Amino acid sequence: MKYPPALSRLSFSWYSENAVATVIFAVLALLPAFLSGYVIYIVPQYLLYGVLAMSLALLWGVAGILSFGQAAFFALGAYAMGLAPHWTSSVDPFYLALLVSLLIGAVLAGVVGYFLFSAGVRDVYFVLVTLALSIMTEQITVSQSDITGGYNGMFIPRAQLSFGGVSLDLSADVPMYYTILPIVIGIYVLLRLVVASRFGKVLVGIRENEDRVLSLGFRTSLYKTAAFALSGAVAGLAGALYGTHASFVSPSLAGVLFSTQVVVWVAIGGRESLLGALLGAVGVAALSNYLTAITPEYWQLVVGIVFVIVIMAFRGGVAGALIRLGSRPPMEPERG
Amino acid sequence: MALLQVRSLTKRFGQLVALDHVDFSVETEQFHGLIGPNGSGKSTLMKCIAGAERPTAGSISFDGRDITALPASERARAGLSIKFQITSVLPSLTVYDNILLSLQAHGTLASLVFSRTRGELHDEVMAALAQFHLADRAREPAAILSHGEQQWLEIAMALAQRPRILLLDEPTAGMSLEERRITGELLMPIRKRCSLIIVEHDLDFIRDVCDVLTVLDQGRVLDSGTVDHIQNSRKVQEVYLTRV
Repeated sequence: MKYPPALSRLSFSWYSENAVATVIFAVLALLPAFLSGYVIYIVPQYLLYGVLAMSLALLWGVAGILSFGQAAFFALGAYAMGLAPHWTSSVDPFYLALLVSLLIGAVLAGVVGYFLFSAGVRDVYFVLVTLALSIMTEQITVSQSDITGGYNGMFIPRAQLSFGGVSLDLSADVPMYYTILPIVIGIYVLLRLVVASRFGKVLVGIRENEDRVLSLGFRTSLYKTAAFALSGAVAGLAGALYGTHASFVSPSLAGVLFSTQVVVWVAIGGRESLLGALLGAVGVAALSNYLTAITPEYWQLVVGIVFVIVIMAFRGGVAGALIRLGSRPPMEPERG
Repeated sequence: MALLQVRSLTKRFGQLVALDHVDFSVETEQFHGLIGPNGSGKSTLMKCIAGAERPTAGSISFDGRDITALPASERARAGLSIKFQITSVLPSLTVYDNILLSLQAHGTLASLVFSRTRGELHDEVMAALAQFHLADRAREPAAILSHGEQQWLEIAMALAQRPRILLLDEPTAGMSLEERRITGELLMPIRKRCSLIIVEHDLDFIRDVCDVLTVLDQGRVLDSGTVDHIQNSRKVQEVYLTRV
């Protein structure tokens, strides 16, 4: 035998999540064939929120590191998309912005993470520093108004994609939809593979007992830094795509309120599952959007009540409850 | 030259002196027992050696190299492996993955991202599990093992790192008599692979397993020597008769 046969039993949640994800992505791929208008405009935006939520789920759900700084990377990615046309005329600014947003998220998170984790900063202290990172990013975008537009924000034209000799105008909603959806699926698959790798197992070990993992010989600060850098890169990339989709970015995108919203999405969806986090973001963002239309005064109160109920009923969020219903450990597949 | 040499090690927690100028050494392939009443500093000494606690003063040399300032992960890579007093397996990972992770601890981050070594290490994982009677439980999450099995798993994890010195802090705590007997049998074959420092309250167990004993009392070394020497030591008898 190559592996103990019953290891496959633990893969239940891995395969069931794969099956659910396949169905959901297939439905999303067919959606423009049946729907049009506002839904096709707004779903990609929700999905990008979902990518942002997955970046946090990787960090919080897998490695046990709660960050309130994901919004900062997201906003920096969006600003990169807005500023890229000013940087170059020889390279397609869309691709340049994607690259810069990845790098800026990875480098900023990597540098911050390296110093914090090497210094042994953990738990609530890490939360506070990442919260400060969001606040600082918001303040910088306000203060550098010559570049960022300050409080007024920045208009970002929708991108024109070109590959080979083919050009694609993303100003229409359907091309934008079919540009963003594959990227979201790709990021989801990539993060699933990372979680399934031995690197992912080390992160789970760090979440469960960092001292034990240290005493095995793992330099846990290095692994935590790598996880934070990856999560920053993913958040930055999502932000860049959000920027061109929404055609606008403002300092509030990096602020405490949005940072908190990301945590709420993941907490409700379930931090133990990337799909849970993705769907949590989509569901709560859609609910918020709907509630603002029907009860503009009280929508935040309703969302708050939903948050409290879900967390009181299911501490692991909706996905966590479903996983426990199957009585299988989450997100730890066996790979041959 | 001793494989491990602890010189004048002192550890203070505020006003409390947990270790007070402790001198201690372990030779190659030696099974060295650390005994003493509760609060005598045994676990603190183990943690200082493993790097889980930083000593206030003194030095620790391993294989001729000063490791006093090295972090725990570097000490583990150098060949010091510990099983903590409080059982600390990784509960949501499978028994199999607990061992596999221990075997992969010396790999690079990139090799782990691409899961390169799993197939190569399978036989070694299963052999380690078989040695500790855990092969049938390989698929189970470590959390559902019994207390004794978790202790064995943690010893197997520590051994999987191929240490030169294995530190076991109360490996039989909470075990039944039968489990203690089996644990003693499991430890014997490792004599050829590494040295052992063991903290244990069960004096019968430690007498059967160890060559040399060091007795700590109130953070100081009370006596050290062969098992016979310690058994006949008046100083040790006084401490055990009056305070244990």
